[in-house]
Amino acid sequence: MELTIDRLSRQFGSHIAVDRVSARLTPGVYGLLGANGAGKTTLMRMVCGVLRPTSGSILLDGRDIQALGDHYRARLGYLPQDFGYYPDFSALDFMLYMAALKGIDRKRAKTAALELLDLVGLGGAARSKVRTFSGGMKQRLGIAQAVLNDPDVLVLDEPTAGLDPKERVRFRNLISSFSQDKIVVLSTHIVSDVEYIADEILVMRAGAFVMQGAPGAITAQVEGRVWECSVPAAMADALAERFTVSNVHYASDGQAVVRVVSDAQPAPGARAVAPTLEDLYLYVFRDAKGITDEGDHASRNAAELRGFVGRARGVGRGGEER
Amino acid sequence: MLDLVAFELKKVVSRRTTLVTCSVLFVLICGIMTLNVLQTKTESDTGEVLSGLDAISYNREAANAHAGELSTERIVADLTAYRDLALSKMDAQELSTMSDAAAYSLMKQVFTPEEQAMLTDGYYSYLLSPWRVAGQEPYQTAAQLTDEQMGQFYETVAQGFQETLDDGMGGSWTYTDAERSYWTAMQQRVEEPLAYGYAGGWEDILNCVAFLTFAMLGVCVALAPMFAAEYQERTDAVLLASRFGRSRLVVAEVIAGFVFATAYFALHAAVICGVALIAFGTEGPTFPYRLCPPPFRMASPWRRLQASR
Repeated sequence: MELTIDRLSRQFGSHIAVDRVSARLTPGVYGLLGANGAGKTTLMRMVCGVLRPTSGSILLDGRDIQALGDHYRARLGYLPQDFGYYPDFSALDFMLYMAALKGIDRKRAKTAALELLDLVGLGGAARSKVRTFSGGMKQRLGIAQAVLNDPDVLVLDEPTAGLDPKERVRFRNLISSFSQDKIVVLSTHIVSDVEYIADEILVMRAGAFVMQGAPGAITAQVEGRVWECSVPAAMADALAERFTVSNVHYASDGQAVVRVVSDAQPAPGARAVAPTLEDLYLYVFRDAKGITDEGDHASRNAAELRGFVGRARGVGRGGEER
Repeated sequence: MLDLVAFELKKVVSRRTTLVTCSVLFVLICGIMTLNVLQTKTESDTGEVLSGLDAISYNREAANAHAGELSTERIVADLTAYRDLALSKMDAQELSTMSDAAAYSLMKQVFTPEEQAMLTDGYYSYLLSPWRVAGQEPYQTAAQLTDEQMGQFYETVAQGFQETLDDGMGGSWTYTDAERSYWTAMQQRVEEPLAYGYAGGWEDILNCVAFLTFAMLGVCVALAPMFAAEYQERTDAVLLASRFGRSRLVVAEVIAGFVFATAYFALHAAVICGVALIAFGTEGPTFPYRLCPPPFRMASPWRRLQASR
């Protein structure tokens, strides 16, 4: 099974939300990392057929998903970023409603719905009205409905929003167990959600993929750019103003251990440390203006990054290998 | 598909605005129909004012007292007796120049309560309707009738019908030949002689049918957000990404809309018909339909039961 994204673009007026993105997705977990406004949700909505692309195509096993229509959506599970519900439905009602929409046989639907609700920790609240649920409970309901039809392609847009750490761990384990022989695309800007379960990371900025690869491989791109240094506590703030600081730990002796993401050594005595995916994220999105203002500034930075990656791996703009 | 329709109905019914609006309108129609019964009033032949079920019962007895076929001979006999009663204590010339209010006052002064009951009986108003002039009491009309005119009841109805077609609703339009032919044929289909009797229940249904507007209002409020709700409640993305979210779901919503509209409308119709027929009675479904003012009232071959359907 292969989901091919071929030079996909989406434009809203003069704003390009997704810019000629290409990728080949085979069974596995794909973590789509990017800041707010990077184009993740737009891309996911196009993959799910909710939004039509301005140009490009999405193919499942070589066939356009627009042409496949209902047949494609029968194999799809989707949890949108802003998951809505019907307040007066119970959790079980909602699951049965979604089962009917997904074409699941009535007899199987109730059994499957109850099992999934139990799996996501809503077994005891199956007959409670959704409007009485907390944010985390609603999110778990959303996850349950997304996997109800045992989809081959599962698209989850910021699925851990509103979940506490214990729930997020449970979610990660759920996705891991589910991802056998399936394509799971998981978008987030919480790095730890994908760090341990993703087979491949897609870093998106300004509507384009700027990095793509296994977590270890892309993290290695920032080898030598992550530093730790021990400085007086007063100097920590000064460092934060000049560099991208990923962590500050204030010790009782008046010193502060600062972790910095920077091309150059940030302070005398700073030592290079092994980078994490979070460091990579901070390095890619270190330009704060580029995150909030998707203009030329962001495009230039994105181009620089792609050039950087391209020089390192020989990979072109859309992720295609030269 | 049935599951989807059921869920769509649940969505419609569980919406707070739907529940409140439809409940209020239903209570309103129940109240209106109850008042319709309780507020029915009539004056008995002893001058006593009756209301509610007593008034309905009295009217039923009064109508049934004249039940039967209206042959020309019977019409002549009844109208002659009526005219003779009216002119026994009132002058024909004076009646022709009086206003209806003055005539009514005079009648109340000179006649006994039993005689007043006969002079104001709806049966005689019905018989005199082909000759009625606006602003006249029935006895004023009767006072001007000759024996020959009384014998031409059905001819007068037909003639008045043609005059109404010529008039064209007060000159507002001209009936085409095809329209005239249609209405004339309808009038000629009326079986003669007419039958008279009590049909209060069916009459009340026809009088109250306009209240079904409330049901339409309830349906509009309930169904207006049917498609927009998906976007309002942010379920659109999930639905559009599902297998049948763009096909069966739409059909299910339309079917659910029809089912709800039909059921709610039927509920209101059941209240209107139920209260009317229970309180006023089910007699007279085969009597001619009498909604339009004369002579159209005589022109329609519809029966009350057909019309109330």
